[in-house]
Amino acid sequence: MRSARAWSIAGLLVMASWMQAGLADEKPDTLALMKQYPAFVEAIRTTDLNDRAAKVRITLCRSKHDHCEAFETDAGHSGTMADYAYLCAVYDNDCRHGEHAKTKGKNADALIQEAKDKGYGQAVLDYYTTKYDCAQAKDPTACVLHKLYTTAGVHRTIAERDGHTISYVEAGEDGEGDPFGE
Amino acid sequence: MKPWICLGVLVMMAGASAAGIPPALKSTQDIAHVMEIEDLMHGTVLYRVDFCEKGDCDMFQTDAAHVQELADYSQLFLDTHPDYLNATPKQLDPAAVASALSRGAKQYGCAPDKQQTQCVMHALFKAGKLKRYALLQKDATEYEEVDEDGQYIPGGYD
Repeated sequence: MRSARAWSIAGLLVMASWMQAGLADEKPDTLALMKQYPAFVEAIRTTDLNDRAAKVRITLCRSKHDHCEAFETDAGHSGTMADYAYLCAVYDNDCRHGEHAKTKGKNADALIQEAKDKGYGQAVLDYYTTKYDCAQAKDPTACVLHKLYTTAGVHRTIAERDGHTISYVEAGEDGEGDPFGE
Repeated sequence: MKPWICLGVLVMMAGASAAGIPPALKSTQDIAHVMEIEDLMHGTVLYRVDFCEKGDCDMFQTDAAHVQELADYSQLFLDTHPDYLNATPKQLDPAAVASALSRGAKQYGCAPDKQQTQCVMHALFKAGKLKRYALLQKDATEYEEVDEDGQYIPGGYD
């Protein structure tokens, strides 16, 4: 009896690892990828310990002294939002910090380069193109970004740093309100 | 109890305590919102106590090693800033204030005079490595690091 239970548990563990491996093959872990570029990406989870409500904010910054794109949602949607932020950084001009700034953000460039060279960006994009049925859309990338934005319930702001003050200005999905945007 | 049940219980307990509140900050929840701030890039955790009224807040933050100082400072802050009293989850407990004051006076050698509370608060702010922030809801949301007295700090970010 004990042996049967042990085999059942072992079988479940093997199946779980297969499933995890399968998912990992389909879509890279974007938060893990972004962790390699801490000068470009900040990710903070804030949990109100009184009511257990938790929010995650991912910020893409040109530089420590410049302005940043900030994305926020509840913790339950943080994985989807991380994928959105990653794709936004790689494919959306409004999020490509470093390209328009006078002081180029080398980390931003490096993240984008890695995403292209190693196919991470395409893998994430392909995963969601299928999931959200965006292949036939006029602009499949924009379709995926829009679906991710709405699915994750992203609240987008522009974080402007001035001295010890950070001002969060409402931006909307297209980054409207960004005084430095293209 | 079967070993695998014990293991399951242990795993559940570990999971539940990972995001638990530090014991020193439990009573702080009665007078303010206690926030756990996890840096997902570096894995570090900070704690912040928010005193808010009508969207504007005074917030105090430190690391996990200084939560006792944060807790005691919070009791004394509310006691000296009654404008926040109407916005607390529960009423301020005079015994908790007295306890924080007596613990601090003893630890930092603050004499029992008119300046005792200020002396203890100042010592706690320094010893607890506290940072103070102001959150203002205007046209945009402004989040600003201020000094111990809530005043503007000249200069930029590091």
